[in-house]
Amino acid sequence: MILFALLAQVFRVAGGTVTYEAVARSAAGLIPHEIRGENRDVRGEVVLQDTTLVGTLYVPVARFSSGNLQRDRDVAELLAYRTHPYIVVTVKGSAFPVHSLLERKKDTVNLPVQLTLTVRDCTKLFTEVPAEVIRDTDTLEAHLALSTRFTDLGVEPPKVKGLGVFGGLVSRAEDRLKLSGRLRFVKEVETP
Amino acid sequence: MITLWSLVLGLYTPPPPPTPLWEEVQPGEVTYRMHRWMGYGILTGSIVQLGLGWMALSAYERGDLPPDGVRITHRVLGYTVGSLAVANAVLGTWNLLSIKSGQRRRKHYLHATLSWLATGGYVLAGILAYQARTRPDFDRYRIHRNAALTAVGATVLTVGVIIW
Repeated sequence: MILFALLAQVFRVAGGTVTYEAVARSAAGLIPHEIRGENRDVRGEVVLQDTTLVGTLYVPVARFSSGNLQRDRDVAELLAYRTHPYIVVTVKGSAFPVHSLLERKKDTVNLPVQLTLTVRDCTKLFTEVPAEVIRDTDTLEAHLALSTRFTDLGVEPPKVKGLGVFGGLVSRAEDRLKLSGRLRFVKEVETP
Repeated sequence: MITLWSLVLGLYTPPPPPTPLWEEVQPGEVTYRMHRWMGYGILTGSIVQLGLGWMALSAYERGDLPPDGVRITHRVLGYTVGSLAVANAVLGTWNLLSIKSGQRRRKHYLHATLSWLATGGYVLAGILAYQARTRPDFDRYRIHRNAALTAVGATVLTVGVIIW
């Protein structure tokens, strides 16, 4: 039983969202407004083995929805979606409690994870990102959030496109970014 | 198929990326671009009209007649902006109806409402201008100016709502 439980368990993304939140300032910096973009088309898989959780997630750049299609398109072009269609996220969490693997009932685990984000050609490592993992019989649900900056990801803070230098006067994002994910995974296959 | 070893060894490759969201929910590229640029044209024309109108009204207030060039340009540009506003409002409504119903947002409807209000304002300003010209009266020119200012304000709001 213990051996069975400790075999690798593969979980595939089966729903959920990845969200970015930013603050833009309009009218020459006088009027702040929040921008929130949601992506419901995340793909990928994670493997849970022993006390380690590792996985790779693919977030399609051209599928964020912020309520403004033109802005979504401009952001996707800023992130070079034609040549880099995905933001790649690798996840590694250690110290997943063994007892949680053995138990057949729902369990919530809080553990710090290490995330590597690759946006266009820039890779950024985030350590000790707090994550909440809710494990049920054949499903996992993961919630996590982190704060960073556009420039840390190799991206210039977006501004209104097509107006040259005046685009920044019309509306420009501040150089801070909050990323969060609420993803649901379904067990796919158990392999030794 | 994913296996532990393929994941560990990095052999897993994602499926082809999905269709960009704007290609799924947006009306035709051509009509969308036309609507955008016509909107910018209306906004630009309106601002020029404000300047010309101010010059004309200032001349009347001084007891002079405005220069012919100012009057004629203001009139021709007024017909142009008004016609463009009507055409663009129709095109915008067509675009809105082309968006999948589940993807239409409140802001689309707000933008459309403001757009039609602005268009009505331009048409009314044109009618008032014609009345003022056929029965010259300084107050009628002022009313025409107020209607035009309201239409321009509604245009600015229309653009602002959709940009945000």
